[in-house]
Amino acid sequence: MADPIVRVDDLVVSFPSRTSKRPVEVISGAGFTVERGSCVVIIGPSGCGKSTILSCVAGLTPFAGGSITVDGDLVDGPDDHSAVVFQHASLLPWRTVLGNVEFGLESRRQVPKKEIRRRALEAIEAVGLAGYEDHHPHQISGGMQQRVNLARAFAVRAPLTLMDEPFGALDALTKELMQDELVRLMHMVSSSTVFITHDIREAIYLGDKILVMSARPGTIIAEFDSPFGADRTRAMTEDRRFDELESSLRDLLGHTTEEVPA
Amino acid sequence: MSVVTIEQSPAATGAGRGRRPRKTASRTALPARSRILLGGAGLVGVIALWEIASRLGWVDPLIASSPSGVVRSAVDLLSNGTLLPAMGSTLRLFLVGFGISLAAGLIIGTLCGWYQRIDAVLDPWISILYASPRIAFLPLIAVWFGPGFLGQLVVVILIAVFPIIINVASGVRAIDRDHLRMAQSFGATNRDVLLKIALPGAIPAVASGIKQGMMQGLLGVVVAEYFLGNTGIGGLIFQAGLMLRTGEALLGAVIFAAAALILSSALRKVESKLDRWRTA
Ligand SMILES: Nc1ncnc2c1ncn2[C@@H]1O[C@H](COP(=O)(O)OP(=O)(O)OP(=O)(O)O)[C@@H](O)[C@H]1O
Ligand SMILES: [Mg+2]
Repeated sequence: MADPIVRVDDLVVSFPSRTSKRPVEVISGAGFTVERGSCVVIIGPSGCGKSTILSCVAGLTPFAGGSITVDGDLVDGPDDHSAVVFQHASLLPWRTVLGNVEFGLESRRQVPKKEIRRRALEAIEAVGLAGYEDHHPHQISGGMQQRVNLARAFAVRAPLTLMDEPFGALDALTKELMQDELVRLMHMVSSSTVFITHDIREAIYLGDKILVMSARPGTIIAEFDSPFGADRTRAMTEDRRFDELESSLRDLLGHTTEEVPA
Repeated sequence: MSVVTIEQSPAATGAGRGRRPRKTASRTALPARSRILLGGAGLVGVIALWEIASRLGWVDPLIASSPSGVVRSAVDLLSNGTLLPAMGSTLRLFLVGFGISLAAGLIIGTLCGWYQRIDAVLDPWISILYASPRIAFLPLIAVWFGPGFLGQLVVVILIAVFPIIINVASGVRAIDRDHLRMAQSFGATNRDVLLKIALPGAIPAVASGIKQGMMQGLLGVVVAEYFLGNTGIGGLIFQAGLMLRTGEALLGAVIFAAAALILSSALRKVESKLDRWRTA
């Protein structure tokens, strides 16, 4: 296989502690790679540092040790190699759907104004929101807001998309719908993805590779390659291997972490 | 003599259990027409009662004046040519004073909200001045700037500018953390964040600052005209009061009240335009 798009080596992250002078270590020595065009899912108990890892890869959180390479470049701040889909849609309430999708493109300053409009409309179409361009965020449902969030990230066409529990706050039905949508989108843009979740079934459904994290201080304790090919369909969930993988993940994560309220 | 019998629930009949029927809480909104009707009737009623009381001698017309007395004063002052120039001079003081306060408030407020160092330097001054009863500076202002237009202007600005600064600054300062991270992840510059996130996000706070500044500015105009130069409608009220011309004094007060109403409803219109994204 060609060189991986993301290489995280021995990552250490600590935050200043509120109670003591010594900083608390949140991530201690995590390492993994993401192959080009694949979707890597990171799963772990609440508070183990999943968001922190993602944020480091995005260049938003400085780390104390180790190194991260994305698309051949060392990460030392936000750059154009990745786009983030945040857990909370983080839409600007005063901008329309179109305006929100354009925001990412405007900030990247890679393409001229006319091209920004064209690409934003294309991304809105791709996430199935055609016709809602002029709506403000408060006028659309939570699921639709997450679609805007996806469109904003995909519109910049970064080689790597980082997703932090984008469907965590959605109801079960909408969540499944969005997962199917995401599978379709990932095929369409053939971008590489790091996807964070604490939903085991979501992890199996989406991941080409599943990384399991320990509780804090977080580190990667296990790695599973998906037994399923690139074609992700709901029929997978009927498969015996799906159940097997689910129970091994459940054993690793411990039963308490299963239904963590979002 | 009904053909259809509807089975009534015990709660509806209330009988049988010896309990009184309860009325469930209901708070439906009063229709707008009824509101206007009731409010209007109250106003007209009080004004009529006042007129009657004054005509029948229940109150001393010299002290209490009367609605017709206010109207008479208006006609008198219009015909002898004092009312319109007075209104013009008051309007000018308000517009110039509020205009300067608005511009200064928006600029200083944005600077304080965005640049923490500027905020650190200016904040003590702003806090002290905002918290103090600024009218106390009136005699000093008269000494420093004279009792003319300039002194009046300083009074208006001193009173109107602080609510604007404080609200704008806190609106700009209160950037949503999620929005900031999102912007950073796309490589937005400081300038992008200020212009596309901080300022639009501050609009509600800015609007309430402007509203407060406007109302305080009106108060500043009255005070300035009372005590510095006795000009305009404020001066007219003050003079009339001294001479016991209560009709004139009340006329002035009515003019200010009307001005305040017009200003606040105009501002509400602008606000709802700017704020469309907020209202569902
Ligand atoms: N800026 C920060 N300062 C101090 N501590 C932080 C900071 N950000 C995160 N932490 C701590 O680091 C740990 C990991 O946080 P993180 O948000 O990465 O967890 P997570 O796995 O994403 O959890 P969740 O599933 O709840 O989203 C938490 O214990 C959190 O309290
Ligand atoms: Mg998280």
